[in-house]
Amino acid sequence: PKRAVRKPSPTPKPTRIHVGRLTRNVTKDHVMEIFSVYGTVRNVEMPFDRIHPHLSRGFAYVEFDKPEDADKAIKYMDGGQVDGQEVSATPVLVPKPRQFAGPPPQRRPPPQ
Amino acid sequence: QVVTADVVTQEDKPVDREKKCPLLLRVFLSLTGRHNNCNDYSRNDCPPNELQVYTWTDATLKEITGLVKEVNPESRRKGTFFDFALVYPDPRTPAYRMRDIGSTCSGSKGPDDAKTLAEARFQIGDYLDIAIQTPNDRMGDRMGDR
Amino acid sequence: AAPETESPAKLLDDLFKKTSATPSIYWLPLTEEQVVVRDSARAE
Repeated sequence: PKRAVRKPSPTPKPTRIHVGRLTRNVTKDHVMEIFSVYGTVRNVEMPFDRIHPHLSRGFAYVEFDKPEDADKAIKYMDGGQVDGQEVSATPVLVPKPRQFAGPPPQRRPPPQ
Repeated sequence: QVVTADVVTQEDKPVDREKKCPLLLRVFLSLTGRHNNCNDYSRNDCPPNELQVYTWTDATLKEITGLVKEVNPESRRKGTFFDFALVYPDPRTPAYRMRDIGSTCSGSKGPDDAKTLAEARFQIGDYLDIAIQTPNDRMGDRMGDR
Repeated sequence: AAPETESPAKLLDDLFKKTSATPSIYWLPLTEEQVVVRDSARAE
């Protein structure tokens, strides 16, 4: 059946997902273990709380090798439960590669 | 005691413990009769005597008391007093804070028995510090207080 | 309701997934059925 709403699919397909609403009990190792179920995880980033550096801020970024695995993780874990709490899992959309020649953004400092 | 239907909110509904994933509750038992110090909770340190309990937000203080008594035989004696406090990170400083939430007594009924974690404003990731006072502890301490 | 003879820990391990990473925590993905329900709720 044809769906009324179709999610936009940017190129390249996202391999990175944002996982939100993680409890204070959840560690990077937990995230790595749980999401490795859906495919090879290349990297897990879990920003820490600046006031309590041993605690996370309640979210993580999980990077998969393949976009299909990122999709699978989102399918089963967006609304899934971790440590008694419902979590979110959404794609991290990467910007499209620039298709014109122009000066790079001035966000980065020039090389010394 | 009967709770009237119009008072029962979504939160008051019993948790379906077969569908709702359990949460990890880290319980720290203090056998001295007094709570552990907040300073004992910091960065990666925690007090000794940890009990890892898997439970739900509708767990009551009485229910948790029962779990403690399972692993701590001394606390099964009648008259043993359990004092509950939540420990959580202070939002503004690196310290931890402690907040009393109620107490129970082995072999006796009390007003806090049916109090749930949710009613105590528990957040998943909070620690539970339980100060256990056996009747012997209380003989000296409490008599002096009164 | 599940039989009382089963210990609570064993029952939890049957119902939910548990991490090897410590301290162990339980987790539970959506079922295929729940995925359909979630997606149809969003399509509305």
